[in-house]
Amino acid sequence: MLTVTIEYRAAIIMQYALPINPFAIKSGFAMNVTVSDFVNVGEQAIALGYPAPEKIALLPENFATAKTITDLRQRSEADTVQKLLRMGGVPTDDRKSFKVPYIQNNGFDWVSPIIFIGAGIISNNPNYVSISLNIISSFIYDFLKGSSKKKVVKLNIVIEKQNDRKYKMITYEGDIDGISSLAKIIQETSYD
Amino acid sequence: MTDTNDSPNEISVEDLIGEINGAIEECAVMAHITRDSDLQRKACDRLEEIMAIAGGYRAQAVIHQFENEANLFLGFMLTALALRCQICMWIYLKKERPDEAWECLVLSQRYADLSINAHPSFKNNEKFRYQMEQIEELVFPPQVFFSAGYVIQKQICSICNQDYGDCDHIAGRPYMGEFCAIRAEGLEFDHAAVVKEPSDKRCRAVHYRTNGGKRNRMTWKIEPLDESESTNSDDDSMIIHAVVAVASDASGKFGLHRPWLAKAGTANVEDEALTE
Repeated sequence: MLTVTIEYRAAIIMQYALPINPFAIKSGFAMNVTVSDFVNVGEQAIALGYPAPEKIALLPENFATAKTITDLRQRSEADTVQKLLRMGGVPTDDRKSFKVPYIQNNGFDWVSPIIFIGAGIISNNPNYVSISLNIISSFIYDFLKGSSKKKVVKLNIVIEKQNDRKYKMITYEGDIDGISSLAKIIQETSYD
Repeated sequence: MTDTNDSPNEISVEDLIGEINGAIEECAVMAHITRDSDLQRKACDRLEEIMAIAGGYRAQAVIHQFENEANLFLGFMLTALALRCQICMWIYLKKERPDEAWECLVLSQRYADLSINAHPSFKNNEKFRYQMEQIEELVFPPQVFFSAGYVIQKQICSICNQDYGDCDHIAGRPYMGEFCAIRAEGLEFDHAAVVKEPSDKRCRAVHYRTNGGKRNRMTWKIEPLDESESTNSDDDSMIIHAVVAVASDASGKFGLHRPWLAKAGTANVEDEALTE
């Protein structure tokens, strides 16, 4: 009869002696952040027949340029990100508001869906911005672990400005460690 | 069930771990190109047995709803698979079958990655994973990779069969000895692109057309065109024969290579179920 103990030592397998440190990380990876104008999210959502998002939402890839609802395509990663945020207690808009066909690209780099953050979240609950970024970077870390090569992460974050109801897109391209620096950039851009 | 091993008929998880670790370590001795091919074959057979043993333990853990143990034995199955693929890679190389060897290399990397995700105890497999990366760079020539893009109408969770967006399972994480995967429904091919880092390194340029046939990018030999391949070319464009997508399902099936059976033109891959 199999008896299961609750605690046991860690499995030790394949302990070959390796001449090179396997955890050595190649340095010199660049981080790039750009800020650009984005369409009025509320107006575009209503034009496409959806309620305007107010909290945190995942916008379809071609949200800014779609003419009709049938044009919309969501990144396949969007459902995972939405779940992680929801399970992490982050207030999100109903995902079904942008339930459209998915696009799946099989590259190894991780490209996020467009993450929308409403002005109210940034002003009233700025911690949710940091929490969201932590959740996303933890997930990407798990997703990309294995290969020792540095992987590129691309994040697109649309924020609603506090004063003039305009919208900005912050595009991040770099490694996972740099994602945390976006919290400050999001705050500064929102209040700019 | 108890959590002690007072009875001589009972065996603890710790003992099982020791048993499987010992068997895997014995087989790992054969993971070098210099080893005798017959001994390597025996190691592959032994690793298949280990996979079956670990699979049996996993099934028992699932019956008793011990998720941690179920994931642990899933990790052992994947570790045995990763090592078996590495040994098959060396056998294929000795048989001058570099295309199949490449597939085994990629699968070995993938199974090692999955084992690391299966249970925290397998973090040590990062060393093995790194070793396979070094082998990729030192043994094989640089490859041109492809990535396919698709439009998908619906994503279904492989664990609970609900709409993937509605449940709390996360793709790539283990649940009771099984990985969550997204099952795509209404899948349509959209595009293919040349990429530096594909998600599946089996998606690569295999041949390109040249005078007198097609050149194999691994062997550099010029091979004759198949009957189905047109010899006509309307312009001077380069024609590349490439794998742009590899089908897989969420049922836990995997292919077991048997390089000792390799004959010209045969794949020598048998499907085995990873799930019970």
